[in-house]
Amino acid sequence: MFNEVLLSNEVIIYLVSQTILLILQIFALFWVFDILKNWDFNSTKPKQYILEKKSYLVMLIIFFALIVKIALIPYFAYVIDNLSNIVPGAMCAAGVISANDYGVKLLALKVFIVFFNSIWIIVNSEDLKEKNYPYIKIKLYFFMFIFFLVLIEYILDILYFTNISLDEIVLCCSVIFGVQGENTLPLGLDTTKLLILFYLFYLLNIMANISKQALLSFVVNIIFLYVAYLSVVEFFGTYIYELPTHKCPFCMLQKEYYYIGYLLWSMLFLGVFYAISSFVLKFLIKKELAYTYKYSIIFNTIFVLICTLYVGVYYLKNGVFL
Amino acid sequence: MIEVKNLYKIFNQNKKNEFTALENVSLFIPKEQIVLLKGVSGSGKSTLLSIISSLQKPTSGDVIVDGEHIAKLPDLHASKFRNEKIGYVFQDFNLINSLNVFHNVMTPLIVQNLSKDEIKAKVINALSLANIKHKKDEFVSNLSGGEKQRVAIARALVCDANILLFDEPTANLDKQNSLKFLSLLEDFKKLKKTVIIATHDSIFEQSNVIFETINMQDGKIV
Repeated sequence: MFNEVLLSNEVIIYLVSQTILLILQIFALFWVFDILKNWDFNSTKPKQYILEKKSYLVMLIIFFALIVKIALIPYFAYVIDNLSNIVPGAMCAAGVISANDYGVKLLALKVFIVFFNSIWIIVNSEDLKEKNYPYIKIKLYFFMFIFFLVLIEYILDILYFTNISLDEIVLCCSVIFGVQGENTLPLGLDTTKLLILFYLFYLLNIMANISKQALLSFVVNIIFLYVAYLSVVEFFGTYIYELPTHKCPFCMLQKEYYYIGYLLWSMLFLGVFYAISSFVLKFLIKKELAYTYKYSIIFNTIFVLICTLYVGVYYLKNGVFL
Repeated sequence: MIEVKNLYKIFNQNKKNEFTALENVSLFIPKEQIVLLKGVSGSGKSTLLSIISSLQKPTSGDVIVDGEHIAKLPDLHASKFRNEKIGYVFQDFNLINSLNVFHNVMTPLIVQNLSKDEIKAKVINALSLANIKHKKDEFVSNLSGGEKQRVAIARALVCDANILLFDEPTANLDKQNSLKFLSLLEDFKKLKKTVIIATHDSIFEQSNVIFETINMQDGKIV
């Protein structure tokens, strides 16, 4: 059971951190039930004062746990990337993540959890700005939902790391994404159409955010996320690797590529997150936060600029496109 | 206007050493009046002041200051309320010995995002009101008890708070300085401040600006 994967320092640190965070959130959850059951802001009875005091501590614990969980995402990417040194056939995180059935599901769940954690943090900060805890019940119910996902994530974490076989060869990026000439894009798209869609949705994204159309921005960004992912893997990534056959979303996280993947993917996540959060927050707390539109434009623009710069710089250096 | 309704403060509740510091305290202090809170040590005066200034939360009951339920304020807002509306002079002054008078008085303004010139003007004004401007560059460790108290008063005045709370203001002063403090009360009256003085000193009976004396005993108003 304790193979080399579970004995690697990175995995131990990661799993211990996840365990500590889960324990913290379990503690918080007990108090959350008490607060939800007995909260009455207008009361001046001892129970309410105790709950107000407790809520301060509970929010601090939840805030801390959620912030650390967000920080653990790039660390998770780093952990699985490092495991490629011991998993046979793996050249980067792509091979390690597909080493068993749990990997991709776990990664997808983690992205959702980071998104929900970030929404919770925004709701919490809005609640703290007010004098009468207007969103306390919303954020506590929302935390219960996040906790449910965190519990599943923890189980998947354990299943994933305990089921990485070191005896079987895994498929990695060069095999997953095929060789030059083979079109792996969906809906009959080719690279040119994909790039047109990429810049078109970026412009739509800017327009929707400038005009503060929350629903439009939400829809456009969901599509942009998918188009941007495909564009990076199929086109821009090849300029990062300077190799037309290298189509991998993970290798760019490695030192050889100056860890640019961390910056690139986090800019895309933040850009899309802020756009989606405008809509979600409007629905959740009936409040429009102007800064979410602004940040979405900023982060998405940085993302598009980085992608475009790689192509431009390559062309300037070599005089040709890949 | 300060209104206290059915206030209880119980320390170490449900423990062996449970202690009721305030028991069903209700009172009303009108705006711009000077009120004396009298009682022996341990009668609950300081606890009441700390709750009115939102330094502490009550166990139950309500405190309304200028229409705001301050006992219900979350910590962040309680700090803001304290900074803007309350000037508190502690029994032992709580000054920072390693800073000079000017910098001690300046401390409540740090969080107010003011320009250097605005801060300087406010500090000088507060030092003048408390008659301690001439010592602005002295370190507080070199000051006498009466001077330290004046620095603490300047610090309480610097944010232009409407409510001033004094906890045993004459406990660390000799008679001459205590009488000087009494004359300061007249200045506060002119400045239209609401003042609460927690004390067991009978010297305040000589003052003619006291609007009301509230007597406390064993955590209750008597």
